[in-house]
Amino acid sequence: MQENFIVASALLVAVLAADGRRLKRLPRKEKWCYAVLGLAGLYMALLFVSQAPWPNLPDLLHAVYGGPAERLTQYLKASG
Amino acid sequence: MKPRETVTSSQMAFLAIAFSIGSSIVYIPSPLEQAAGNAAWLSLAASFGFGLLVLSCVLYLNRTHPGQSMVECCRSLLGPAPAAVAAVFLIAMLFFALPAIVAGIGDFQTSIVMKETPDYVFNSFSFLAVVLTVRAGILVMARMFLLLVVVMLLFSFTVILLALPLYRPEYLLPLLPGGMKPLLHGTFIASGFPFGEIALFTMLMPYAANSESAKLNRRLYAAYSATGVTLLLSAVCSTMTFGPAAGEVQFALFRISYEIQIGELFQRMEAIIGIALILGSYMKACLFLFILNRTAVELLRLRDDKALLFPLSFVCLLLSLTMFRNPADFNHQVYVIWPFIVLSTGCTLVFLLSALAWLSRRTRSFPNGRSENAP
Repeated sequence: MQENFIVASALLVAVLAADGRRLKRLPRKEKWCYAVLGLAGLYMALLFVSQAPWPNLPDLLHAVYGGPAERLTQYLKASG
Repeated sequence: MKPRETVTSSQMAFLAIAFSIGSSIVYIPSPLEQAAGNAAWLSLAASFGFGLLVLSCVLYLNRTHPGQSMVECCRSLLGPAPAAVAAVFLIAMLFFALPAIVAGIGDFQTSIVMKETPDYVFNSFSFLAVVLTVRAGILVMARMFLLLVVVMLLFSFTVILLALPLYRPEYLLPLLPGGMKPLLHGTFIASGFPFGEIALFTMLMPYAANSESAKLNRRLYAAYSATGVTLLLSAVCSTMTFGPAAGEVQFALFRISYEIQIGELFQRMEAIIGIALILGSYMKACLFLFILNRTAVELLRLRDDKALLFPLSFVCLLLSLTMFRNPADFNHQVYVIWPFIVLSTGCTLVFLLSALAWLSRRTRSFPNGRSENAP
């Protein structure tokens, strides 16, 4: 967990350092979008550090596509 | 507004090869051989045919809506609200695909080359290279990928040729021991990954130079065919080398290169194919990040088209480290869920837009519903 925390922090600092100057010059809409992505990034960082089984993108995709995809695959796998 | 960069038709063709072969040359024979057995190459051939249909629709949309990306086509054909919904689905697709590609690079490195190194090392450096490349722009990417695609194909074909003494053509038979369903299963997988993914290439078509539109179609078909031939050869060679065990072998081309022993000179070729495999994944990751960024910029109508590159990469990097719990989960998501997503969202959207574009042209040609020959 400690190792993951150091890695996540280093990555976050690297992103802010790379974009720091640019952020101040961004139009308002871009700043808001950046903030939303930043929040998503923080959530992902929390998942990475804690390794908690919290909702992630594959869970969302599975909720939408998983059922039909698995049924189709089962049908194609069934011996015939 | 800054003029958009344009790439020549030859450069678009090489981008298409990088886009289609990409990471699939690392993975593709093995899951198809698990699903379809000896008929893996037949599945590839069938799904290549499907991919050609998708490419035809992509080129048709480019002809009817020149200079427009998929999002812009959706806006003009479906309206702004459905276009926004479609763009959200595309972004969700890319948020899955891009981390999966980079996770594949990390997985390859940690399972074959450097087993003690944590995944985040490879994934971080991969994303760093990818985001800096995408920031340089499509023109720089096109010029660079021309050389990298040549290197990738050269190394792949060199390994395939040098492995000739290992091939046992008798392993290709029997052709359909399990009937048609395994063949259809393999076709389903390959139609989603990689051939159906060409639907996303509509986001890159606006960058093709208008002056070369006549050559563009021909060169893109040729490039896509080169992709089909390369993957087909890879599947056939994998089956002829490993026979019934081909489905259990991960990274088939890499394993084939490992087996090459010609005198004292040609042995331990796996480093060469390793370079080729990573190059393919790197190029595909660059193109996917470019498309993801482009889709977000067009959906949100942003003025600065590079503002979101770093945060998008950051999110995708962390996704690549958290999305897959174990190799079985990776296989399930990439070979069961992802093909379905590509077919049901990407390809369906392209088919729908093509149909609407055709209907709209027909309506414009015959506005009163009368035929051309009516008095």
